[in-house]
Amino acid sequence: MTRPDESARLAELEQYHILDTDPERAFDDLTMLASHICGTPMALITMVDADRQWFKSRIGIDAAETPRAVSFCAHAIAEPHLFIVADTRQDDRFRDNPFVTGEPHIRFYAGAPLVTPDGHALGTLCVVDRVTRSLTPYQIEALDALRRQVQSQLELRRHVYRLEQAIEERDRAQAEQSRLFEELRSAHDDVRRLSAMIPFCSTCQFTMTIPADPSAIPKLTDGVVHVLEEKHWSEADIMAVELALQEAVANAIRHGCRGDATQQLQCSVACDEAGEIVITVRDPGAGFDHTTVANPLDAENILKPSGRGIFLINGLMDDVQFADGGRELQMRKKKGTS
Amino acid sequence: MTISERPLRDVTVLDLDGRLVFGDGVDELRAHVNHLVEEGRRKILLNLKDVSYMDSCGVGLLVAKFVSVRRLGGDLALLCLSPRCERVLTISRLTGIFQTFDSEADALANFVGKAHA
Repeated sequence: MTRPDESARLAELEQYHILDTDPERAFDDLTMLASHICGTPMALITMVDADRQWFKSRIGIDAAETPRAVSFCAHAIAEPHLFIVADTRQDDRFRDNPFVTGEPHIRFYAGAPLVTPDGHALGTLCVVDRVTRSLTPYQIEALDALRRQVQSQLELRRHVYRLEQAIEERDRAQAEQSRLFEELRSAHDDVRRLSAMIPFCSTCQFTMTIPADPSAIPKLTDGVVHVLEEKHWSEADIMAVELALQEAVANAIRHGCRGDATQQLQCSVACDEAGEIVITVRDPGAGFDHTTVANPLDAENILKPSGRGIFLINGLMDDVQFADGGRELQMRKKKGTS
Repeated sequence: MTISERPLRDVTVLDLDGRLVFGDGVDELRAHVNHLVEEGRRKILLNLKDVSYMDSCGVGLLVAKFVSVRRLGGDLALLCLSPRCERVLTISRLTGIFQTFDSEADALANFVGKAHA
């Protein structure tokens, strides 16, 4: 019959990562002491798994594990204290046990449950003999002390495992951080390289970041003009795109960045083989509502010194869209539309 | 932007060479025209033959100076618009506001009879 908290007990046993591990001196020393103190030919540290009991340390027994169904320790872990069977032949639970009727002819068993801080008994420290006998109070007390030592070793093992996991996790995180940083650096280098190549670039797409400084505008517009010349756009079309880009970037510097040359703008340019150029200009500013921009052709505005930028862009390009609260302007133009 | 000043009778001609855009040429031209106005010169002819590029900022300056000189009783006219400058003024619907001329003689005739030099 499985105890109600058996699944929790098995889950906790799993956390110790001890099943099927190699022998360890720290555990073997304790089984040896248990065997000597109690004067038994056999002593074991057992872990009771779902269908088996597995021996972390064993003296006087060759098997590495036995079926749980014939396990003495499976009974011991159900008990709160030391579980003693003085004469197995007199106990209905064990009389027909194959280890009683056959090798190693167990007659005496005393198992101390190994209990976790959460109260789950994972296995036992047990002593076994081929003759019927009992333990003195001194031996019982010593066996209990050794049981506590085994429990301490188990806890130590679990803490070390967790620490190792945490260190591995940290190392993985650091490696991932280094990889991401390297990717970022590489991407940044690519952008810088592309920016440098713009005057010679006949390919169709690039993104560049420029300082919010009017002197940086020609680098951008010259690059775009060169791309369009390579694609044999007409002078009128090129002039339209160049001026629209000039207006868009000037607006981004004056309004988006408020003339602060320490800020930066991003400009993406894509020109497909079908003959359409798409330009996106993005600034880091507070944005604006483009629907509130006054019409410079209205009588009260026609002689104003400013306010024509967006109007010009609309007149020069085929399609103009604002996004992200006015921080991003995207404009398109097809070849041959000027 | 380089600006060369020369008199043409009672008109001051500014021969402009370069770009008239945001961050390039606009501040220089504004300062030069302001200086002329401070000196009392009210007839100003801007020769745009060698202005390769003008944006809305350049257009805005021309409008601002045109308005301010007119308010002072003078006049500001444009000479030899390059195709690019003409296109910007056309899109901005300002060709009807400015007086533009293809020759100095025609421009000069326009200034005859203005009150100020």
